[in-house]
Amino acid sequence: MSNINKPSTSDLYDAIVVGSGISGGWAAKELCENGMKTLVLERGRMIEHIKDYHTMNMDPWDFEFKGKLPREEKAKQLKQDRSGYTTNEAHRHFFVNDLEHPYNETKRFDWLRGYHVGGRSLVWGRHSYRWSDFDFEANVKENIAVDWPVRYKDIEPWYEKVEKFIGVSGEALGLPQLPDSKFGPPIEMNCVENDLKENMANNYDDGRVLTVGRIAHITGTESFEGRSACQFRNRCMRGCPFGGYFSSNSSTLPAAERTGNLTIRPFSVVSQVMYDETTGKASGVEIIDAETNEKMVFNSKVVFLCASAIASASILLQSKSERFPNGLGNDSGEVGHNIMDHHFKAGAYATVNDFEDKYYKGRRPGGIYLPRFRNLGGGTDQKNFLRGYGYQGGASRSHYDEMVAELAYGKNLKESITTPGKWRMLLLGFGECLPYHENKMTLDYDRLDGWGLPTVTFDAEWKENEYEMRKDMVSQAVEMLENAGYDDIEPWDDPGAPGLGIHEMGTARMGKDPKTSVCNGNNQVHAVPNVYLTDGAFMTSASCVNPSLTYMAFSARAANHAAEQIKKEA
Amino acid sequence: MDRRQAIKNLGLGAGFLVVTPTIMSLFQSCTSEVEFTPLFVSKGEGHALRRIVDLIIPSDDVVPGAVDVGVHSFIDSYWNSVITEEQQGQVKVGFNLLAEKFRSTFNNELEAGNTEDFDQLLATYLKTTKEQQNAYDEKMGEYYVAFQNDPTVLPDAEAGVYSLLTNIRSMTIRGWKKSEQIGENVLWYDPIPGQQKGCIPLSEAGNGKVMSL
Repeated sequence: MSNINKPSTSDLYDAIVVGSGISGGWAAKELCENGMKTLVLERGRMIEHIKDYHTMNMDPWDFEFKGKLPREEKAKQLKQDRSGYTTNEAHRHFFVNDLEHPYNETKRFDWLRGYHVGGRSLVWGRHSYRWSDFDFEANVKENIAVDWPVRYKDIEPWYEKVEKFIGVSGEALGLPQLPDSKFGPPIEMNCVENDLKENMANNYDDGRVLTVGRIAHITGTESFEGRSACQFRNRCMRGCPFGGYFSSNSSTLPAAERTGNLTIRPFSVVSQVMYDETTGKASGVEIIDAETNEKMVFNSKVVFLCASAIASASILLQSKSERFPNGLGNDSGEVGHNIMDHHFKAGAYATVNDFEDKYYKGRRPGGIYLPRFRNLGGGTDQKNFLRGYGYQGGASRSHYDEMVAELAYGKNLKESITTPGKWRMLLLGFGECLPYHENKMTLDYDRLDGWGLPTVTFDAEWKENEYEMRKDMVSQAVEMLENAGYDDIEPWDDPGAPGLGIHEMGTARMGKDPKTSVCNGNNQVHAVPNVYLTDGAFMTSASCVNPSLTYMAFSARAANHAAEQIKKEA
Repeated sequence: MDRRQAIKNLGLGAGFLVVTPTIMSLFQSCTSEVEFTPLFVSKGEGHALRRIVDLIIPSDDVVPGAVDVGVHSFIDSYWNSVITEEQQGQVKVGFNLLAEKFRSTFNNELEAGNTEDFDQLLATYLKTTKEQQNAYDEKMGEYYVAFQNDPTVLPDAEAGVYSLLTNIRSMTIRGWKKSEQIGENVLWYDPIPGQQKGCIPLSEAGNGKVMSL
């Protein structure tokens, strides 16, 4: 991406893609590969693959405070810091400055995000799981919110296409609730994880299995353009010099650029989608240059909103016209509503007093996965909550600094801390959150940001179904660790607030009926079909699995749909 | 001690180093104890910090100790720049309690304390039973709650000293393990593993040492 073309306000692009993260990158790649002249607008700065990963090879001692931020620096990212890991000096530059990008909270909401080319695709967790019809059919079966207009068979080929391009390592299990794909070689589990797996096989007959996480890392010998295999450094959040994991920067944007059809413009804050009353379609977008504050309009045949769930909904709400006084495409009044995230930090830790003569090599960039085993029919159904959860986590040996008298300080302490500590096993549940109309974000026109745009106000919370599910997430984790004979088991339940899963979604949901949903089964805004929403905004329900793979599959599918429409109309 | 290490001991990142004649003279006198001019704690407290850090991870003929790799200076600059102002106040309170304890035990000020004195103190507070540690932790928990309402409130004197010493202990362990000399040469430094093996004998993994990264 060394050549950033100068976009022209007088040109008519085939497509404008707002946002360059995991969804925008896929939309851009597919549009460009279909011959569409595509303009990608990114509100933040340019990040070039490898060249701009300035911390990628730094060791702890290369940071002044071993990675911690000085007080004055941390004060700029107090909300981004709510995760406890995002503001480490190694990667804090991929998260926003909260003073420059404020938001409001009627109820606490942790909105963690990065404004730069590549967005959160640089820092994502990389776990990549397919949805199944347990997910797509849940709303209609339980009469919750609205039905998805899409089923697994519609999206299955797009999952396959995406997985083939990004590379997903993992183990095929043949589970109906977690369809397999064509995986790269699975990363090995360690001794304790294998021990727990065996224990579970002996102790449970309800279908639960332990496997290694399916993550978007290259592990085999198959070649991926411009990328090489994961080196097991586990420094992914800094950007990877090997391109070992998938990001927009390493993968989709270079692919889009190779077509010659891509133009990318950083520092472009989209303020609204322009609506043409005569054609009944969008004609382009208005931006504010983040550096000069200059306003300009770019024109296109289609617009893809891939700015992330909250930002895309904000753009729709800001796009007011005579036809759409409440925001573009907001006839249903659902824009900004139904915010979901995954609730997590519920599970248990244990110490494993065994395998002391065993260790591992390499720093695995993902952990284990224990797929959903609740509410799948028959004996798995629960009385107290709907839907389900999966566990992530894993076992490791970190340092040994237990303070017993003989190791309190001095020579013995010095020796002991140079050896691996005891094994610790963590089961960390990630649960599905239901869509609630009243969980919402709105715009505050009395509190404007530095570009004169309204700020976002969050009003969302976990409810009874999530809290009931969490009890099960904790008790099942404790039980599995107990059954395995592990020690010092500590239950963990820290519900926090929505947002911390960094899987915010649902603010412009997909549905069959324009009266109750914002976009259709092709991700087109019902009333303005040349506007597509393909980030987390379109999600009608949340599943319990990490969402990025699904955003990518829907983005690819929608981009090909849009390209077909454009070709038809040409 | 090499030049690079001397710079680290001064608590200055290379980027901030201004080489003045005073600093140059320190490089030339590396055979004797490098002077430690703390940024956050007082000179007397710095004297205590240095000796405590040295006792927690002592030097030997083969492996540098915590003071050798500048941990005392790291902790001081960390307190100076990283922790909140509230936490800074709590560290100060901890040192005041330590100084009082020192006076009552040795009839002496911190800056005049010798290694044997500090060794005796550390043994008193750190070589204790789990029950005693839990009791101290509980008292500190009560103090932190009370502190939210009234920042002038003081912790239990014994628990306050214990808390300061365990804080120094854990920061010493962290600072030592995350120092370049220890991280690269003593622990298993494997910056680009290139492969992952889930379950191997400890003896085949970094010669039995824990990974430094």
